[in-house]
Amino acid sequence: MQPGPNTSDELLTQARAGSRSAFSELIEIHQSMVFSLLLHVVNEAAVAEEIAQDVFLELHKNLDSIESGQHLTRWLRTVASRRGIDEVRRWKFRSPHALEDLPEPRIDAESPDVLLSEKLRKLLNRLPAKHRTIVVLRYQEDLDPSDIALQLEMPVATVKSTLHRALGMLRCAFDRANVTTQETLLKREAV
Amino acid sequence: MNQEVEKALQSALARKNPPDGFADRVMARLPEAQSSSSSNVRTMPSRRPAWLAIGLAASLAVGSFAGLRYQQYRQGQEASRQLMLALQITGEKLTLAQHKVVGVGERRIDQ
Repeated sequence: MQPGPNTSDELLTQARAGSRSAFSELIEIHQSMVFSLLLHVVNEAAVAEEIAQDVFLELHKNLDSIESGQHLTRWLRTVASRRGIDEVRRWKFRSPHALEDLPEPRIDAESPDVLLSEKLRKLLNRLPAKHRTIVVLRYQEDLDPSDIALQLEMPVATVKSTLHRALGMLRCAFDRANVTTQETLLKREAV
Repeated sequence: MNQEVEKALQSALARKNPPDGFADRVMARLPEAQSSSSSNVRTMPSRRPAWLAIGLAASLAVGSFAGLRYQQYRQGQEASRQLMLALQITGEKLTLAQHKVVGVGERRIDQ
């Protein structure tokens, strides 16, 4: 759900004044953005939801510092990105296995598009947390490199080079995966 | 090829809704967070007089210190003035005594 600028501004004003229903509406408006961003970064729905809840609780504590609806969106993206990166780093540190060693996600999909999406998400999980977040902000949120640089407080050149490298890596893996997927589909058709 | 990958990425990374009842679950956790924030709100008015009192006390302390220093300065000035006057009187008396001694000495020589 994409909020109109006035809607978000009005809800923000009401939420700041203590309206619980206004704050609940703000959650409804922004929940898919925050949850998806975290889901694509941490790759675990339960963890993504827990962190997303924390992000909104933090927002509630900081409502007075949010100036507008646009500022709210930027704030949520920045906080969710940072929390996601921190979680992946902590998880990687705690886990005896590297992310790439984890079992491949089960694919029950019927269509090749869904199969490819699963493959791409799996490939994405092999990227370092920060690179992954940059790719997610670029392709989930459709942000320009300059906007991503602002969100993650890093130089634009770094974002561009990271995107370039990440895309290169994904393209190579995508080519291989594409061939494998086509082979899988052909085998399924044969069966 | 890049466009194909980008298109596939956009599709793979499309936004997804969280499980149903997400907003309710956040709101259920809110009273705890709200009580802490509302306690902040409640404590603000009581904090304000405290800060005012601290500010007032600090101003008084600075004012008293400045007043004391000024008083000491005035006393020093007065003491200095009195000392100068005393020295001036002493000097005049010494000059008078010297004139008298010289006068007595001249009279003895004349005799």
